[in-house]
Amino acid sequence: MALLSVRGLKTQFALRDRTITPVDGVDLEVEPGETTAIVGESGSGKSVFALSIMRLLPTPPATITGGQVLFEGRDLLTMDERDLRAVRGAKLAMIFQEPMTALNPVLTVGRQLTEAMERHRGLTPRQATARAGDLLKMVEIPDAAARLRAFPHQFSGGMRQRVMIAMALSCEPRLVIADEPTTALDVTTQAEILDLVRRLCRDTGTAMILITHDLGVVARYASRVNVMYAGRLVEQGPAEALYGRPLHPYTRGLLASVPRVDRPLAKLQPIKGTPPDPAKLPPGCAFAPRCELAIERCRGERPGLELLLDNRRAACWRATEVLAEASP
Amino acid sequence: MSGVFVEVESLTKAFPITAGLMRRKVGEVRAVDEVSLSIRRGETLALVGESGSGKTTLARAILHVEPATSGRVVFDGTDLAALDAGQLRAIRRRLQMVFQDPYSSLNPRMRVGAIIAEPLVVHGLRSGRAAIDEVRRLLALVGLPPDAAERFPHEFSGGQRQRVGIARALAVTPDFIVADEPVSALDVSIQAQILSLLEELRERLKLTYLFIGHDLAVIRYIATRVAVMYLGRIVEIADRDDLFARPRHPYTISLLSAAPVPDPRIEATRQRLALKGEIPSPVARPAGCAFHPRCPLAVDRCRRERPDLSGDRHAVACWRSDEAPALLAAASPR
Ligand SMILES: Nc1ncnc2c1ncn2[C@@H]1O[C@H](COP(=O)(O)OP(=O)(O)OP(=O)(O)O)[C@@H](O)[C@H]1O
Ligand SMILES: Nc1ncnc2c1ncn2[C@@H]1O[C@H](COP(=O)(O)OP(=O)(O)OP(=O)(O)O)[C@@H](O)[C@H]1O
Ligand SMILES: [Mg+2]
Ligand SMILES: [Mg+2]
Repeated sequence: MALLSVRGLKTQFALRDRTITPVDGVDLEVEPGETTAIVGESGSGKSVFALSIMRLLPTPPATITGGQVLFEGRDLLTMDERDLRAVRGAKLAMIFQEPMTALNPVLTVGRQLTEAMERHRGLTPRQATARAGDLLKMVEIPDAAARLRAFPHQFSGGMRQRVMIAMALSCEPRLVIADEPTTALDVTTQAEILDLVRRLCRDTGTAMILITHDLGVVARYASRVNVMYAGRLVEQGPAEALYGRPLHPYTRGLLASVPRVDRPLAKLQPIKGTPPDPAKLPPGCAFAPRCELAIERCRGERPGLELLLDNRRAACWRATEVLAEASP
Repeated sequence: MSGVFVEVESLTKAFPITAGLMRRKVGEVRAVDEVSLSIRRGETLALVGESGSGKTTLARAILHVEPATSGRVVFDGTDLAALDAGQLRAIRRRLQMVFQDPYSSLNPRMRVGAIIAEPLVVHGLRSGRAAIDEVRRLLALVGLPPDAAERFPHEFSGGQRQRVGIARALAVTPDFIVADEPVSALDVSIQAQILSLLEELRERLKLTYLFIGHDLAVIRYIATRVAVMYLGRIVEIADRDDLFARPRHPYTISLLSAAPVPDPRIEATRQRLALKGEIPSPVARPAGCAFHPRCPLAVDRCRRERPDLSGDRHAVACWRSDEAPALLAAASPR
């Protein structure tokens, strides 16, 4: 059984003068221990998706208007607050882009780490403190025991991110959702932190949803990829196959847009235009206005995510033709 | 095409560190420390380095936005420090800057037309009807529709705002443009559009660029030459292809190995060269080579003696650069 199974998730925001649907019918499965990535441009709905699963969005303006989020078989969307809190602290954790959103500025780092472990794992204060020191050591913070008494602002950005990771992993969750965990950091720090998260998840068998806009990061850390555009998944599949032969024109466009350090220089082929305004989505495929392959049908009818190859799905009326043309 | 256009000689920019109510000076940060480099006409020199390494400070000192503590900048044969205010203003027209954040660098209350026309008016180049025509020409040049002039910045996407920023910089027909992380805040598909635009404009208008960035793939795409900065100093500078094929500073190698490649098959076989610790604060610059506490090759000499840049077209500041090929081989795909 899948660890997480999201079915038809739909989240709407009632704004002053309009209603938008930043997440519009998303299906996603995560197997135990696997790392799956959600990649998409700014505003495509990645964070709203993650926060919907965690049920961390404020209502109003947000309402989850449809779907199921089955975690170990139980629907998080219908769970009462108490059960939900128990799941969230212990089995399901989140790492944010900005560590200060998760850290309390007036509590010492040690206190924040021990609190969750005392609550969710029933450790005594003494056991929890010892374990907190181990956790900081595990995330490679030098002089860990002494640093337990420090406050978050006394750490650098990269160190704070490590503290948050320690917190998220303190109860050995089954699933961690990492929303752009290193976007604000330098490349070398980014690589160190993501390597660390990967190692820790492997050690404890923790699965991860890695949210990013960086196709390189996806290639390095994820085994499965979900490409998001305007609130929907447009392509889904194992990383190697998807990068090797993208099925959706948007995925193809993204891969042709990124310069690479490892290839002879070629002219970039930018995707034309910009992502649509979520309040003014076109009636058919949301990508059609930017798509070079778009035909009449794409402008009128919205394609669903279809299984096209072993383990691979795409939401595109032209994908079968793309496939036929790409294969020898 | 050839010929030195901007010559930077031993440029240093130090900021005072103050303490207490009286803001007493207790020390200084050398954000840029004796940097020398030259930029040839028509080239794109890229500056790459981690946050806080001094890229923006160096750019501002080169443009004389904030005068340097010491050192010299010679722009097209003229020493900027020797100019009076009027002369400096006249030469400023030729030096323009494009910023990272298209959101905060445009006045939200001004229409885009007025934003682009402002430098024309300030420099007394065009006014009235002629300015309006010029704005229309500039909008077309950066790929925006003519009616964009009537709209406000918030009505545009990030990429479109960056186009406005570029149009504004181009209004006064500069020949040297400093672009400080111009695509870092943009989505990949939009980033590619802006990079292509910058490249096209450079050829069409015979511009010279100083391009600041931290994404090595972007830099490899746009640059003709690359300078790597670490804690206020240039540690390696070389022609683009040479730097990417034969990096000679351990820091450059670590940056290259940290940059992920969008290809799972390659990533699966790559070894990353991990560095120890974090980039230190320039306030507490390590003695000797500032990189030594994190360097996998460091020996005693590195802790004691500071290496200077040496070499001609490919210069490196490292006592151990002979060991670089082995280090690179260890970090490359097998
Ligand atoms: N609190 C909110 N109120 C109104 N609209 C919102 C809110 N949060 C998100 N949205 C809208 O929902 C859409 C999806 O936003 P989301 O933050 O999920 O994008 P994202 O894919 O995470 O982008 P990024 O890469 O920039 O983080 C956007 O159009 C955004 O403007
Ligand atoms: N006005 C200032 N007063 C004091 N210190 C400063 C000032 N401006 C910059 N610094 C310091 O100088 C150093 C270099 O900063 P700079 O902004 O040039 O780095 P950068 O390489 O552009 O970094 P980033 O990639 O984050 O933009 C930093 O340590 C910074 O804190
Ligand atoms: Mg987000
Ligand atoms: Mg900067």
